[in-house]
Amino acid sequence: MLKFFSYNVFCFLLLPIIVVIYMSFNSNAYFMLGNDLSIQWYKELFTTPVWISTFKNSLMLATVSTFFSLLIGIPAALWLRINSKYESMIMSLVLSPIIIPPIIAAIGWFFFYSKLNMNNSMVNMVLSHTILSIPFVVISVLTSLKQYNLSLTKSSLLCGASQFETFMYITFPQIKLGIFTGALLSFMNSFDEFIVAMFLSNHNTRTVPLQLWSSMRENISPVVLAIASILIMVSFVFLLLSNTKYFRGINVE
Amino acid sequence: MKNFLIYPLLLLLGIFFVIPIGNMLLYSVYNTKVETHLPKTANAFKENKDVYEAYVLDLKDENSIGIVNYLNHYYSGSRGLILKTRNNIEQFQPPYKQSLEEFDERYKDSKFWSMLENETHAFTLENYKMIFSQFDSVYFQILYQTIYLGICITCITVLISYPTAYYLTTIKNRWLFLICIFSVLLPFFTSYLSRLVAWLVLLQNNGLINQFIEYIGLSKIALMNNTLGIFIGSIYVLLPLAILPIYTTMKKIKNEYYKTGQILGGNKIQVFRYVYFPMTAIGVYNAVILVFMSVIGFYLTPALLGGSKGKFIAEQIVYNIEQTLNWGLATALTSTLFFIVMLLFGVYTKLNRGIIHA
Repeated sequence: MLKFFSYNVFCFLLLPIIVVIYMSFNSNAYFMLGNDLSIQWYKELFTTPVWISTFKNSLMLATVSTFFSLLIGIPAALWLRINSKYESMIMSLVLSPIIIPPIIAAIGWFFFYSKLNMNNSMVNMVLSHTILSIPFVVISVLTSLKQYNLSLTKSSLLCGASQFETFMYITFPQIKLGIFTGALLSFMNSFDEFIVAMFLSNHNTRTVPLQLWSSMRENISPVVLAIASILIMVSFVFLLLSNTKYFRGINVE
Repeated sequence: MKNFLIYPLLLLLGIFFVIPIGNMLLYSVYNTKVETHLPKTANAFKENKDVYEAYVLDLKDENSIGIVNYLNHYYSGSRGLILKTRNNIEQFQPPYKQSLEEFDERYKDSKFWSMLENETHAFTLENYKMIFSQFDSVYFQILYQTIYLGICITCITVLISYPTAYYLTTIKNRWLFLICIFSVLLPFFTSYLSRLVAWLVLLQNNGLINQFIEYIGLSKIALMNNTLGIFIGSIYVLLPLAILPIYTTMKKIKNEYYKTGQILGGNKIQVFRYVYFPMTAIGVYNAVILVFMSVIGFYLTPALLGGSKGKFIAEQIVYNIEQTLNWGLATALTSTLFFIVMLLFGVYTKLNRGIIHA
């Protein structure tokens, strides 16, 4: 009984993903079953200029914001490891960008950046996505730092290494899995982000989710399925790449 | 010592996160509409000058057109009234009061002028009044509906998640377990819009489910563009979010507790009620709060699967920002949402801290 119910739930969770991947190879333009397999929608996807440009935008945005969130998040996690008495206070601030619904932050940024006249470049989106990505970096780096013995840092310093050398040769190798996970999560989060991009982008800085959304609402063509299955496969690979056990620890935090 | 490590984070969050949200909260009680579009009238109210003259002079200016849609929210019919006045602006002669009142009866209504005066004050609660003063207003209905649907969706999601998470803890076979946990994690890490595309393909009128229903000889049913569509889409998106915290709490519970309960003479229901459930309660609370906080901010799911009539507060916010340009009202709705979420966030941190201390 319980088993039957649970398997239904698991099927319910997997069904849409399988459907999207299957239908993206279906040659019928109206989502009818029982047609030939083809890769025509993938071909169309990679030859449509608007998809290519939005892809470029999204990749750039996700890469740059991931870079900045690592740059800011890793030192912050190191600090939180040392000063753990402020942890809960600072963590609730750090977590708030992903805890509160994105629409609230999006409206806030919408007015803020238009006041500053920053609506014409991608800078505003990079800043916002960095803020939305930092929580992932801080959480995953902090989780792996928790297993790191702080006396290693001390002994390295005593042996005459500089602060930077200590980080590069002692700390970094032990937390690199955490950094990798954080980078992965923040990249995926930024690549997938919709609401903030909707309010902050202009016609030059449209991202993949925005383009997906508008083509879903106007005339839904199976090209949308092609891009959806590419995104699904990317996260599938990412999920396999990282240790599943490790991921689980992060989600629950 | 070494505080420079945390400063960049605090600076970035302070300037580009806390200030924008604070600014948004202020915007909801700050009114600049009349000042920008009818500057002379606003000035006349402040300095007790002849408002009627300033009003006519303002309407001669092209700039004043921006106010008409806005004022119509607060005094119905004022849109037509102002447009009509603008079209005949040349016929007004001093004394303007008399000539305006002769032109249209509604200018005798003191409500119109007091509304205009209220709108010129910088601080205003008008936006909040519009939401909360009448229980049958559109905005209050939307707020009520969001919370109502949110509670329903949260309950269903958690009720489904609880047994599923329990089943996950009972799996002994390693590969079976990996497949099961993978089916929870993969949707969780998959792009949000990809998942919605899937439901669009499945649920639409000629979608796969309806094709199947027709194939077995039944008539089609409307699966999307209604509340059912919102339920299916939201529950799908939220299930992993509920299963994972419940699962981690359950995983920590040792089998011995359960056995002890049975040895002490409890039947299955009693053991569940008095031993197992209280220990998993914190996971359930966490799941409820996480799920509810995300569901009340939903935009994409209801906008795509719920039909054209907006049912969620986020849709109303976007509509007010993009279509009616009533930004004051949009920020007031956003701020209301913000306060609800902050309240829940407070409860969430309090609950978790209590557990850590215990």
